[in-house]
Amino acid sequence: MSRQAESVLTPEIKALIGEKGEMVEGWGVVDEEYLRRFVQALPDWDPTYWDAEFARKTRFKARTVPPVMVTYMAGRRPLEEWSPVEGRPEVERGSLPRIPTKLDRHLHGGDAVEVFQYPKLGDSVCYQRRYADIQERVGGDGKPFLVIIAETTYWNQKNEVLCKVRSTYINR
Amino acid sequence: MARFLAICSQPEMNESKFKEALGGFKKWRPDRWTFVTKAYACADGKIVAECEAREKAHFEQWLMGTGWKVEGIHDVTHIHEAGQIWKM
Amino acid sequence: MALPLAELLKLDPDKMPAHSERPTPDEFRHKKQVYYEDVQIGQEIPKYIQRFNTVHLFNWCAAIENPHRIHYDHPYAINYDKLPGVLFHGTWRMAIIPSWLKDWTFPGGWFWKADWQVRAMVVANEITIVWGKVTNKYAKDGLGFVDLEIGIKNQDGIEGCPGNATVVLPLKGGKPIPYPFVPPN
Repeated sequence: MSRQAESVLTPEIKALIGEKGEMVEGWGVVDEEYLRRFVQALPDWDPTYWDAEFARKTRFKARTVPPVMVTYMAGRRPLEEWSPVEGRPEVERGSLPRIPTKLDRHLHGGDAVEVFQYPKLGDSVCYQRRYADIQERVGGDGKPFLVIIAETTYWNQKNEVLCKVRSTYINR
Repeated sequence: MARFLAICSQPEMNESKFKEALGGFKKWRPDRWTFVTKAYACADGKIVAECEAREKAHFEQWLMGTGWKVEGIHDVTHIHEAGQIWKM
Repeated sequence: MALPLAELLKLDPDKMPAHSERPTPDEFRHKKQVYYEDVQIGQEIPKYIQRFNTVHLFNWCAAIENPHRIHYDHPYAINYDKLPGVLFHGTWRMAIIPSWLKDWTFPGGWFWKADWQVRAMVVANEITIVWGKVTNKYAKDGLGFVDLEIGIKNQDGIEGCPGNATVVLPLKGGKPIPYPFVPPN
């Protein structure tokens, strides 16, 4: 007779549901240069991003940016948080508390996005993460694992929600 | 996963035959876990092919499909590439 | 005439990008609105087909300030992470899918939401086919909601990103979609 596997969703982990990271104000504002590089790389050929005259005739009445550009832009770091040795940021901002588990394989299971409005050029953006949910599932091998939903909300300077991203992570 | 190196020969090797063996994703990446990372065709008809696979048998199966004469398959422990050394 | 997904996948991968239905900037300027009434359940929506090469991957890394070596350092990707090549960014999908659905609903519609799983990895020079099919539609509060099955397949038809999306389209003669968008209760 096989012994039932011990639950990995401990009370300590359950208590993290709803826990929030610090509110982070993104570096700089929604700017022309970030937009130019972002739409070139994406690519997204919508002239609403760069043709002011055309954009004025759309229902947005002004130039816009790609729907979730802010989710990438908000990760920009000021120079003092950049490691010249490593060539990458050395400070992680807005992180959620670590999940206290021995499960050491971390997988990105998927994403969900919801968009309400675009920021305008010149807007500043804030974001905050929270653990929206943490559940336990059992794999085909009979071993339990954790499914973690981390939600990030992005706001403009008027405190209006721009978009939300829910990312699913699996710890097994 | 492990890295393997095969020494093969195909006396009448040319670009067209080389492309037939390796051109296109399904050719060099026959399944999710097997990929031929590099292959050299030499003027004397020798071929050296490097493969990342879960088991040597998967690489052997791929080599059989090429029609090349396989002289040996070796387990790779270290790779040098342009000044960087990688332990497998 | 757009090539259905099933037919597209029978083509030589080199010939696939020519069938991309991404509008040019000029086509955007003259784009006709897709209305709720125009949409049929089961219909495919325009596909975006592209071969992302290492130049594209480099540009994306630089644009979003992502320095992870698996996206541009080939020896590192294959020898350290044991990958088949430099990887297309998993998180790129989060920008591609909303932009693609925004384009389809332009100028008067709205991309509201989407979700997807992260499945097969994609390496540089593979073909990516961003595709969608209408699975349901319903009108509510004078707005047209359209549910879609979406995904990003490679040239071999392997699905790397199965998911769902909902967009909002105007009804013919109906009210404009509110902006900022307010989801229905």
